[in-house]
Amino acid sequence: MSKMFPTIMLLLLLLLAGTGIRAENIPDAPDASLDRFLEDIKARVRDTRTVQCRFEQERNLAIFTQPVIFSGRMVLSRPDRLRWENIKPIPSVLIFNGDKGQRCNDDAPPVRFDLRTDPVMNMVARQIWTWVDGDYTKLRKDYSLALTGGDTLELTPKAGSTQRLITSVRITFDRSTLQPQTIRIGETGGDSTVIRFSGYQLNQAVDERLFTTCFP
Amino acid sequence: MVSPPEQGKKSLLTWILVLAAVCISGLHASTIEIREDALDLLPDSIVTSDLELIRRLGMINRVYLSISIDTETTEITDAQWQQLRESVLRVGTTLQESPLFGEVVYRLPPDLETTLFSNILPLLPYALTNEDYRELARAVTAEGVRQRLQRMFQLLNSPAGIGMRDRVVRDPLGLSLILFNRLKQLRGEFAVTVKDGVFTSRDRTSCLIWADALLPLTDSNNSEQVQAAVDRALAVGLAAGVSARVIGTLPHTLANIRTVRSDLKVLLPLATVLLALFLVLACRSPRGVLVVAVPFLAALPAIALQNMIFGKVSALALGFGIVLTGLAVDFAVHLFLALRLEPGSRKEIIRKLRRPILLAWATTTSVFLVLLLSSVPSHRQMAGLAIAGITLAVIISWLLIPTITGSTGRRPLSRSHLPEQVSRKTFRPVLIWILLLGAGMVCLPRLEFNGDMRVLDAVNAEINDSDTHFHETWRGSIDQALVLSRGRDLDQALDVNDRAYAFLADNLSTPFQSVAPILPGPAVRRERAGKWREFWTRHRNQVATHLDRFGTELGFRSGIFTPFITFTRDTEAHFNAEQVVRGPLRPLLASMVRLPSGSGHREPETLVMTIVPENDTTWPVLKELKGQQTDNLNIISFRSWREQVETLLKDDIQRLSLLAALVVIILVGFFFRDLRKTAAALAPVLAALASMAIFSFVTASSVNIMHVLMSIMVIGLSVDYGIFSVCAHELKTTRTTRRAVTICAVSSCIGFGVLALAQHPALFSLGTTVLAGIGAAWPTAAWVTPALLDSGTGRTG
Repeated sequence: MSKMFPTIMLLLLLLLAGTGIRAENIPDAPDASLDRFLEDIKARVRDTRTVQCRFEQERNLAIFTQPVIFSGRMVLSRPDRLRWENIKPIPSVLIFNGDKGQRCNDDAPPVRFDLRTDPVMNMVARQIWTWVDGDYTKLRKDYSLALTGGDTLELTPKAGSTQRLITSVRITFDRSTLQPQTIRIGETGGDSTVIRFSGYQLNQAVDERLFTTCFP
Repeated sequence: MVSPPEQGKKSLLTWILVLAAVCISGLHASTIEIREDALDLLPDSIVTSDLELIRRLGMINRVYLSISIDTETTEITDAQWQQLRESVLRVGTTLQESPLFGEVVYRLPPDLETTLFSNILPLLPYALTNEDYRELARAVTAEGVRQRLQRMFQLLNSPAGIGMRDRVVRDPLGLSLILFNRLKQLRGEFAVTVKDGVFTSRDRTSCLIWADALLPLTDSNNSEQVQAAVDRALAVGLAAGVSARVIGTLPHTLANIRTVRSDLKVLLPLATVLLALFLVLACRSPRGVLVVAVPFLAALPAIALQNMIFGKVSALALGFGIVLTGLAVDFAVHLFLALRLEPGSRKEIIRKLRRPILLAWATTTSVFLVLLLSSVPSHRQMAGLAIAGITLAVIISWLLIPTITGSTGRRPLSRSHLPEQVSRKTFRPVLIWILLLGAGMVCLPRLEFNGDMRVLDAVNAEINDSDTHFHETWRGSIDQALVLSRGRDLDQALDVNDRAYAFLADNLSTPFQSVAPILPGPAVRRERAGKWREFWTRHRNQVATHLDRFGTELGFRSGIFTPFITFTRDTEAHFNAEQVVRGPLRPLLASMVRLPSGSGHREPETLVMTIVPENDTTWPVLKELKGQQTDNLNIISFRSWREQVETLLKDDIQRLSLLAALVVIILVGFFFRDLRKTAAALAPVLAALASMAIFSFVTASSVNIMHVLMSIMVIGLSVDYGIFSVCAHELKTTRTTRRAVTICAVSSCIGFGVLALAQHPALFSLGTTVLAGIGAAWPTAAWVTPALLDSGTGRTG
């Protein structure tokens, strides 16, 4: 499993959970106000118990003849439950629920894992919650952060294994709602991935079965 | 007759000569190599095989650090985890920078996750078993390729897919998962999992670091140095709310040495003051202290002699050897009191004493001559030192004691010098003695010899807690057996390891840890490379067709999986096992593969370790394995190893005890040539043995190695008491001899008896054994021996 998975997931969760940031909170001078911006997000994240939204992911890889588009939905319930569900073109589900988790494809039985004994999934899950908790100082260890244009967070990997895989991450927020609209991940070798989010529901009741069953 | 001034000059000259000899020998003694090696305490046959291998594996000098977050809950927050992880990284880095440590394992290489695939994929052709090929046969069908490729496509398009492009291209069927799963199971000797690159426990509240010290940790000075380095690393590294437990040889060595120091700090001055007071009062002269000091002048020449013969000595043997030199104090006391209290000239008195002192010396040294036959190196060294020390002490006492007795010459008989009026109540002490022997005979057969050295280990509550935590947190099984495959190089060792693995896999139902599934030896590799070629010759074209067809359907470019097809053809790639072991997988393999360090061992040898939980089911299988493959294969079972040590020590002790008893009986019998006198001389020995047996039975129902060693000393003292009493009876100097025996016994009881107050179990055993033994031997020599002699002459009425 790629090491990038947690990073990307955490970026997503950070953006999705950090809702309610008002336009006037976005600093005009990015260098000077980045810390405040991140602190604001941290505070908002703490107030957000659940997030539900739709996503559309476009993968532009050299090994594909054309861009591959997946769409689905994501459900998050703090402190430790997450569901990432691809609906089209091939259904699949990834669930983290406390120490347990499962992966499902439409044509195969669920693969269950225990985070206490599966180091890779453990790493993925724990890093997600690090990010959800809003400790962005960790981001700064691996990335240089900048706020550009008042609505876009630019992340540039520092030296290390991350840099071998990712050239840049750009997150664009909706100017009026400050919801993340798109994340563009540039990969080495010219590949890229764009994820678009829509239809946010915050702090709404979530069906518990979403975190216990792949296809309820 | 020699005039007093001449006598004084002669005495001075004697002292100068003796002290000069002592000083010269002291210079030579100072160059002796003092070893604090625990291996010296174990039988030879054990040391030369298993323990040496354990040492070469680095297990004896390995320091384990279990770093834990201080929490009452079973769950920890991510912030706590980060605190814990950062602490581990800081402590690990600091230890790594210390010159006192070689290998420090605390994290996986930082970029392992991104490079792991490239590193382990080349191992695939050599790792696939027959069972894997059955699964592979299903995977290469049209439906198999379609399903697997679709899963990889999904993975690539999931949040986990960033950076997986090359992996999908090189392994579209996900065959590397076979290796990942095997790697996941390879956790060395510990129940660890890997999280964020560090080794953590199942509940994630603890992380593990292990560091191989470059200095032997069985040495107390080294241990102090290493402990200081560990303390520095912990002070630098641990965040608030994070604590560390140190496990391994280190805390045990330090706890023992610190307990001994703490005991001796109090008990040594106490014993010295008590002894000095007693001797001054008992001898009615300050010279009494000198009487005790004179025999100890032999210590330095004895060490010098040891240095000339062996060049080295274990610290334990040195300490005990010097203590055993103290046996000669008895001779000095007898000499001193006789010269001061007995009537007659110095020459007459010395002539009278020559016989008992010679016999006492002969019996005592013969006991230690027997101990020279021991299979335990430190026992032999101790015996050598004791023989040299006692012999030299007798000579020095013989030369110097007459010079400190004051006025000499024929003195009138006083009442106290007259032969003792024989008591008509001799029956009572004999009866008590018989009862004591009876009780001893009841207890002796019921005593178990406990050869487990851990009974002498001064563990405190903190060490116990750390050991328990370590086993609960990191060990899947408390008892583990190690199967060690040896070879001139890694390939040879891996071949042996493969054979052991095959046998264990066929015969064990319990899971065990081995590197064989991912790192086979050349023989297995050749066989598997052949299978790989054969399999892909049959299936390559059809797989290429299926990949192209289903890949195109999913949106992959045509021909994109060519690298995988090429990989199935490339079986001639150079496989270097050593490169794998030294590569990024090193932290996972380090504890199970030991490459030669290039120093220390005469013939460089590689060790590959397999770890098997040890229980009643697995042990017979391991024994069978050992029976089948004796070359280059060692099976170390810590449980059976302890049993083996116990058995060897027990056999050694039994053999030597019987031999020593026989030698003493023969010597005493030959000397007196009278059954009654022989029995009377041996009466204190029997009383001491009975008393020690009763004491051990009542307090522990077992005896340990310290009891046995001290018993030898007690026997040496007791037989001297008996010999002196019998000789005194013959010479009609019973009262003086009784006084001398009393002084000797009480001195020994004070000197050693204070150790019964010690916290250290070894010193405690030492003190109680002497108290019990001498406490019985002394009254027996004083009252029972004369009574037994009198009963034969009708003097008891």
